[in-house]
Amino acid sequence: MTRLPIPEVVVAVAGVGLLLAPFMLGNYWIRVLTTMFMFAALASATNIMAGYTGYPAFGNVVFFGLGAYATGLAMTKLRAPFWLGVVLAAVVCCLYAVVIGFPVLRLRGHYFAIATLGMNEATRALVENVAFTGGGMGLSLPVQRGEVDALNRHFYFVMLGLVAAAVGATYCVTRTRLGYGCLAIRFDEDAAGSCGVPTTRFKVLAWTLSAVLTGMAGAAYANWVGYIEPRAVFDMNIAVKMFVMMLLGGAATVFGPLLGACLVELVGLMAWSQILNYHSAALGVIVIAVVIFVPGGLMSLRRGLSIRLLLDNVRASRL
Amino acid sequence: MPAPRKVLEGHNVGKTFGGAVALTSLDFHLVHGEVLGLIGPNGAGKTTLINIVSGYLRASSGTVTLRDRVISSLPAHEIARAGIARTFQTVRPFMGMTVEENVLVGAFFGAARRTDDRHPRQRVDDALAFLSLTSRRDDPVNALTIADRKRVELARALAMEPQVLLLDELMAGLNASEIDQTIALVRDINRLGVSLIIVEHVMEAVVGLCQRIIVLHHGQKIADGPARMVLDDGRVIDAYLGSRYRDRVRGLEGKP
Repeated sequence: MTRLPIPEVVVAVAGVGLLLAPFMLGNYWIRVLTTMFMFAALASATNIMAGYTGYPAFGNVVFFGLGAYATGLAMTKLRAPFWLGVVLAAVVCCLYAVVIGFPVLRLRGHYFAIATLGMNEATRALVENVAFTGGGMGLSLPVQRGEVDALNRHFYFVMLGLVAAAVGATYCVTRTRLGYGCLAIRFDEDAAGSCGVPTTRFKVLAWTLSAVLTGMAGAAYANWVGYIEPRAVFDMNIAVKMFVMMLLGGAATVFGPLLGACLVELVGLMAWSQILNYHSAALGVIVIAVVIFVPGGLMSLRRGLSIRLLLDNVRASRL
Repeated sequence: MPAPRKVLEGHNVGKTFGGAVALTSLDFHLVHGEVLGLIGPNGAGKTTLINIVSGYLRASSGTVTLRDRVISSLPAHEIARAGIARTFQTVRPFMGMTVEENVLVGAFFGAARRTDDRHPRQRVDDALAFLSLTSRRDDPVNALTIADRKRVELARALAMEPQVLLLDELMAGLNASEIDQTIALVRDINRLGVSLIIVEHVMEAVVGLCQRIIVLHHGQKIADGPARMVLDDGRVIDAYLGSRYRDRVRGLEGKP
């Protein structure tokens, strides 16, 4: 069983390819890739909290909606430029995560997951019922000036930048005390505390990092599509997708969520065009297969794939 | 001769869970460099006391001080950084990590951060070498035997460079030869200058290691003194040891 080498050369070539791609591809493919990047950034942000720290923040999509609305309101009411809108989204999500984090992160496991779901629903209901946000009617963002191709490339690079930020943040987490502390919390929170890991602070830190990245993706999305409404940006389907991608690629790995996002989007795309009515079912089947045969995600296969490994996993899943 | 220096001290420490009393106003202390045994029947409050000292539980009353610093109001991680490390009754290494990563967590976050200028990696190497785990450093912990997992827990605690180490039934589940090795190991740890409190049912370990023993029964201290005296105490024998034990120990020691 040989370990596949992933030399820096491959990464560099891929990087250059991604930078040149929008100048060579048509608008359709640019949009596909932009969506893929957005989900890669979201899955990666989720991974910091749910993967490394082990806290199933199902409601993390709340930060996506919050970021989208923070930007939308700043740009429509305050006439803020795009970049300032993104910064504001990050600040709002950061504050929200810290303020909500200290009480909510006392909960563990399923209780925490349910609490974050409630958080998302409550925030959505609030946004839906306040006149200031446009309520259920939604919010139209200022129209971006420029030709279509340039705008497409603009958002392509914004989302690509977010992916880079998310990967960079994840990489930093894995190389620092924060990462070891978070993993220790995931495996045994009490033992982690007894080893001197400041558990509450680290959980809030990890969640804040996750929230800021998610919020920035929401901000970019709002500008990209130009119109947001509560049901679209506080959407649990996005939350589910973020989790599926993370688990499919490999939780608690740097590149797993990216791999998961690419696969889910590509499969979705092909299934969408081939079997319009069954594409959700196709995705579901893949997810079930992965959870049963490769519970560690696709990244766990980089040391090699064998029938025996798959069977061992099935046995371990106690089906 | 100067009075022995108390490294850890508890005053009037009590704990109730709802209506159930686990510990009743307990006074105790640990002398620097000492191995203190904490024995008593199941449910006597031994683990509760360990949990209070390590910050896993908050005492209902009383204070615990570490070198005159009150620690009983601190969260667990600050108590750990103040210099108290522990192992768990049911062995609890970080199961998804390798041996080395486990120990690294201790080295990164433990007390040594402030008192020692060795690099954390160096502390990991030293702790692994001390527990003869160097060759297994890259092994995942879930591939190890219970005895080895206990050593990982010990290495993780040692990498924290603690002043006080709390061992909660370290010998439980080990076979006879493993117990002998572990007793020697604990003695070596004590020689490093670490003061220890050990909760133990394996009397061989208690007799072999402890200079002093506290006996708990129904949350109350019924004996506290030099090991020999406590183990001969009639009340201790009645409450916990049983007369068969006394006869066996006398037999072991070759006395009538």
